[in-house]
Amino acid sequence: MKAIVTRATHISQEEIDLPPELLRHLRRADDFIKLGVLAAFGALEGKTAIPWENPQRCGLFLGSSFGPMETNFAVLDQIVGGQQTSPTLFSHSVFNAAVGYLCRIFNLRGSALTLTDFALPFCQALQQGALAIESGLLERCLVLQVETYSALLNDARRKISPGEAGTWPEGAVCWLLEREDLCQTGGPVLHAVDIAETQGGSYLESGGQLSHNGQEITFNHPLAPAALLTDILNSKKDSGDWRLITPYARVDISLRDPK
Amino acid sequence: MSKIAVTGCGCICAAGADTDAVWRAIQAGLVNNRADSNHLFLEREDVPVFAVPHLALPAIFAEAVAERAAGGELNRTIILTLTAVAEAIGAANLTVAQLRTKRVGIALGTTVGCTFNNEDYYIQWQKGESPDPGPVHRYLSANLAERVQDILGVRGPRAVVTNACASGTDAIGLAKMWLDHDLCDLAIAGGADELSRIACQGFNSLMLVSQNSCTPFGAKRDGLNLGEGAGILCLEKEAEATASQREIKGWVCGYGAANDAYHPTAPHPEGRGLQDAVSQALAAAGLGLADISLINAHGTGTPANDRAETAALSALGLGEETTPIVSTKGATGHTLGAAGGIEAVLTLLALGSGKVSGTIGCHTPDPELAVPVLSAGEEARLSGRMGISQSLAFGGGNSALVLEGGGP
Repeated sequence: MKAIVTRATHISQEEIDLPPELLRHLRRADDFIKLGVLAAFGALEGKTAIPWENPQRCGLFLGSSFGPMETNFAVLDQIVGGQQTSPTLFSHSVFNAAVGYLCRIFNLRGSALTLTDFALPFCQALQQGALAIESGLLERCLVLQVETYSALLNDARRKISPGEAGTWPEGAVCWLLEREDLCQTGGPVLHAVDIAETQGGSYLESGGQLSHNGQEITFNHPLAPAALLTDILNSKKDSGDWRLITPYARVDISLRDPK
Repeated sequence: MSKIAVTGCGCICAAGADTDAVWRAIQAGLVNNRADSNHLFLEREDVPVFAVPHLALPAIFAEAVAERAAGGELNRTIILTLTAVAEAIGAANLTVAQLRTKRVGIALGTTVGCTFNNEDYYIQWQKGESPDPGPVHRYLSANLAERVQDILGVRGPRAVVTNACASGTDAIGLAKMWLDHDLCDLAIAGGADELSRIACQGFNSLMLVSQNSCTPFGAKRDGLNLGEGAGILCLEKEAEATASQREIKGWVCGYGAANDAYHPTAPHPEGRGLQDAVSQALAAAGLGLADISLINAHGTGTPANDRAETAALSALGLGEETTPIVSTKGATGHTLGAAGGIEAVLTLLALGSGKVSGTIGCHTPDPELAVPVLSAGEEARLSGRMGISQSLAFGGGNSALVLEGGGP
């Protein structure tokens, strides 16, 4: 059984504005966690608990290139400074901390994984999400990419790749996938996600190209492919074939109209 | 769906440099931890850790690594992984050249293997200096699955699962799904992690680290010992493994994963997510708990984990008289992202041999646990060849594999 892409949201760091129902959950959270939760909140249309029966069959796949890097450095800061490590900081520096928050807030009790890859992590998460639904492991899942980077990384980029202008924009993307027979709202069918890795690209130069329906759009930061896909999907509710090309990977995503 | 065959296993940890050595050490009840004096744990001396004493790049990868010098020096997690990969593909009678003719999936779990933790670079950068960019390049070329894929020179799906302590189990579960859905012909799956100051300090800050050798399920258990290592399975569809006349060492029959949705670091007291994960894995394998002859538990030695885990098994219907429950972390330490890989290997060995040794370090089991465990010095004959290897993680993650042992 294929997955339907029911809803898709994209949120940027500047849009972090926590609604009251999320404030108490996210009091101590870092931006990585907040962005992930806000993107999911959008994909779930402002609900703080999933409305479906069987939460054990609702899960999520979160992809990230860099994970909660700034929080990692906050812990490292304490260590190299000889200070006591904060248990909260440490637990938030663990790569799946955001997944833990998402599951707790939205009562997602199925398979919930974090996948880390510099090359198109949203596509990897999307592929696994589709597979989890097709295999019967899940009935519904959120697929996310969250990126917050760090000052150290931005500085390294400026020095190593001076031609790469500007700071990468932080943000998060979230898609809701639902099993075809359970979906009531409609949306394109996620027919296939084919990923072909290539070698030799530099991850500090995160440029690439999205081809869709004869259009070609260039992008230049790690979250951009997922954000572009989301924005186009939301503006046109479009099916069709999408191709992402970067120096380090090529991904073909096929979305079909439902029967 | 075809059962997924295990055609090779590889393992390295403080207990031994390969699968046989680790297995022998566990049967002998050896505890090869050492006290760390202030390097990993800033404020505490003499905290035991399970470190791998000798580590070197396997010879079969030397040429490939040299050819790919642009990636720079390999970190310890990658060398641990390659050591276990070399053993696993060797045990499967596969050469690197043969692998290159197949679609090979690489699914690996890790925790610290994905982080930028070069302290010298960080300190210089903090001071406003311009440190040599080498560590940044090394970090960008250190994605575990990508690097292994590159060194092996193979193509196929890849994933690095960073689901904390359940990562290795989840990686094997993903690889099973890839094979079930024909995304690859063969998969190399498991987990790896090196000891790191960040993890040691962090676990210490959460008061989860014992000052003594850990005693999983013990009455006086007071925490875990951290460790490092790698555990890898070479997986193929049974039909293809048989057609290639490869010896089958066991099978991955089912995988389940579920989240507690409860607390950032502590497990649900009744192991709610673990119950769901085990139930899913059993359903996927077409089995019930009565078919299971061994449970290799997560068994870290923290009071909360061991209590929750046994509560979950009791709630699932495990009784007094039934299945042996053991933990191997008294011999390996808690190897975080590697644990699920190492424990899958050890579960398969026990199931294949028909017997299991008791939990090292657990001389007096906690009488409050909801189900009895096999304690140190005991040995149990197994009633069958089906077993479960299960993992719990920060963030509420739980995952379980139903494994079948091969052997004569």
